[in-house]
Amino acid sequence: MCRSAGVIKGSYPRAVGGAPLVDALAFCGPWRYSFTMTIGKRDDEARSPLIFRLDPRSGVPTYLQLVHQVEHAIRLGYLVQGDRLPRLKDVVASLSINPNTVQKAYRHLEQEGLIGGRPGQGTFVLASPETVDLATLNALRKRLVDGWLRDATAAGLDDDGIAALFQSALRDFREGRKSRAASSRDGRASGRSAGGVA
Amino acid sequence: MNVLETFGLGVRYGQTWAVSDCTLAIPEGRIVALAGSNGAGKTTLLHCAVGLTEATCGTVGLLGDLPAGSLDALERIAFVAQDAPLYRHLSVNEMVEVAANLNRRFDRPFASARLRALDIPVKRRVGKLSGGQQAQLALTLALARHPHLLMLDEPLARLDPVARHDVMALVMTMAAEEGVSVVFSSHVVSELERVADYLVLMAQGRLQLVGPIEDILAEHTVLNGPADEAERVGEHLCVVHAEKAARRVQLLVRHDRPIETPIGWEVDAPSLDELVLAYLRDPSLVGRSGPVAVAATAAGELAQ
Amino acid sequence: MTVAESTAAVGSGFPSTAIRDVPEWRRLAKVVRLQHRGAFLGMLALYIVCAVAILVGEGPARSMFATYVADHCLTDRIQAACPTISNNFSNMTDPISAMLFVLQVLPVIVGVFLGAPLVARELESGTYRFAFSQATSRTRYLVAAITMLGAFVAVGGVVLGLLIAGWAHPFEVVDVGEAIWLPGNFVTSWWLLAAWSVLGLAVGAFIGTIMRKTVSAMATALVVVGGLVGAAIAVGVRELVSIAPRVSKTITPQGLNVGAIGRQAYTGEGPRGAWLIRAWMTGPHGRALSPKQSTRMLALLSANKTSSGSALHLLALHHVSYWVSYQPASRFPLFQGIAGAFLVLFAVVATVITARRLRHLA
Repeated sequence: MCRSAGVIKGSYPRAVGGAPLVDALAFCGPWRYSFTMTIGKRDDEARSPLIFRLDPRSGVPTYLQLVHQVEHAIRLGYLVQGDRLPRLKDVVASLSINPNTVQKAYRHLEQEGLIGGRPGQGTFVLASPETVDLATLNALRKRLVDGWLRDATAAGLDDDGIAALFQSALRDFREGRKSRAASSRDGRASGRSAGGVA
Repeated sequence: MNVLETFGLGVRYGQTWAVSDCTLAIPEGRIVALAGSNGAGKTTLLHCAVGLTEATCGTVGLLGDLPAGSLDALERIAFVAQDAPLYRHLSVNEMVEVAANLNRRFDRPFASARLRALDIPVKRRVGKLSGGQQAQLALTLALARHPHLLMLDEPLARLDPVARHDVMALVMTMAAEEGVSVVFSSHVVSELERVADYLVLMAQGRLQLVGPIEDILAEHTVLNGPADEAERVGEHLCVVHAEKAARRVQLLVRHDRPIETPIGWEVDAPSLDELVLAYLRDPSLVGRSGPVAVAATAAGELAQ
Repeated sequence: MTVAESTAAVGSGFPSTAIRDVPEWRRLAKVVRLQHRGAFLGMLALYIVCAVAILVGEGPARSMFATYVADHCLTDRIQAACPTISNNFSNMTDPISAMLFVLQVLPVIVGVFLGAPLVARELESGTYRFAFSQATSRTRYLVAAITMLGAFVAVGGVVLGLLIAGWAHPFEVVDVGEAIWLPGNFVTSWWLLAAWSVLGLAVGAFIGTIMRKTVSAMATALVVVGGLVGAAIAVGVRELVSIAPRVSKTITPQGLNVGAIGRQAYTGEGPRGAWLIRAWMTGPHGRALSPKQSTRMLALLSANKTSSGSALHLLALHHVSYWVSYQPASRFPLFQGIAGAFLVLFAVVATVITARRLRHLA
């Protein structure tokens, strides 16, 4: 019965309002995929403020990209406490990626304490992480510009060279930390995202 | 439970072995990329699992220990063969009828909803559909059986980018919702990189790499260092592939335990693409294959 | 396994409504109907053309037979008008002979156009990868197809066989040679035509499975089924009628047709409707005449062929008896039954071999 309802509504998506449609589809399983493809973003947004995207060339593992995007959204305030994260099926359908990858990302975020699952309802944002305040950010930035960047330029490195060197150093820094402590990824991720904001 | 298990599987056509010494066990719930060059034996392996080809030697078991080709196995698996063979003289509707009547379990509402969503004209002859539509139809007929294990032989070969995305998204949704285990075969690994979490790499009928992609990647490292130290460093490592430049050399090495970085060398994680390419370049390489084969593969063999 | 159990085994995603308790034979019948619709329609058209040809072709014979009956020739064939009508009948055997030939070829057509592509097309076009990966056993799939197509061609064979028998009936009654025992007529009787068509189908399917190429399988089926029908017509019937003990009896030759000795067995004289196997003459002491003596006796008989009285007189004069051995007309259904049973048995064997072959398809 539910299935046939889904079929009918799915066939005429425009004739049906957002929320009931979402509920019908949420219950209806397999073909919800095809409808999210055709209905458009409005319903998705009503469900979760977050839309994932992937950069296949970044070299960052897919699950980490998802983790970063959630962290980033929380940090920037797109996602606040109590917001719903996209459901597994929706992420899988829109990005066409392995469901295990999404599960892994969500598990990771759960371990970080950022999100939590409510049985039967979905996954929700629990708390905002500590953000680096603007003053600290500015201070860090100033140290980078006045100190290291100036020296690097003086040494003759061009912009690409500087970027490459920074990337390489950052990677070594991360690798070093990974081998020392496995659970330090949270702080590192915050640091990088904060850098991006500044 | 393993969805697909082979032990010592070999298939001979005339004088040539299409598949030989194939031992693997794919656990439940995986999205498996069955990769390899053309003619590596991917299709033969899949056909063996479905029961379309008889093993010359060895055994194949599905979903626990159901024999390949048995009705019990066929009720729980679905297979879309290469180029999505369908009855071209039938209309789409009739094709659905044929599939529905060849199976006790067939989800007609699912199939018709899918076909409607895909805008496939149900009255048109199958032979008149585009290649992409035929592939979508074949996939729909397979998914409407709600299998435990879905095996797709080169499913993306005839699809345009949008259709590729849609096909993958649908299969992944089924995997998320129903826990379907999936085996994709493809000779383009990058196609499967985002979806697969398990790799079976074949070359010349033999298995080269089998295992969770994460583990495989973790067992390989790219070392970048001075060319004149290459031999000294390579001596103690299993070098899968070496690429030499004027003064630098890049070694792709395999290791069971984390390795110590030689002084003056840079360490990097390989991408799946890079790794697969290195193995495909040398079909004689066997990295990690079969549940027991890993230990048996002497490290020295690889280091040549 | 019950439905409920298997539903659970199939997983949460499976809607219970999608499991239909339709018997398997019914599902397969639907599949065969859809898949072989073209073949069904093509054969149906062929059968209709044949049936129409028979109905049209037998018109003259039928009306002449009506006259024959009206003239009471059935009871007294020496009446004035009857010999003329008899003569006219013997001038009309060409169309029916042509039609009989077409029907002899029918099993070959069935074998070539229905049997050969049955499996070969699946193998050739690769659709076997679809069909054999569904949850239906290949054996049942094959048996369903052969049973349905077989039933179809059997019904067609029965109908055409009865129609052609209706056409031939006046000729037989008037006795102008289109006897039921004639190998062509024997093969195209309703029961054997059906059996031959089924055998053609099964053999065609078998060849298609072996050869895996539709066109070459068709060519081979043409040769093989054609050869089987030809062999049956050439030797099969003769061999068949010798399996039961013959009846021997001395008769009085009625005139010309005494020459059954060394001639085709179905011509010559004997009890009405019987299959003549042998004729010979015995001398005064019950000993068979030597070939030389027989020839002389026959020449004498031919020279005095005026009436049965004179032949009898001649034979009595020389103390010679004329003997025939034959299978009586009443045994016709028995032989038909035996022949048909053999053909159906062969068809079943061919199907079994095909099914085994299909199961171990590599």
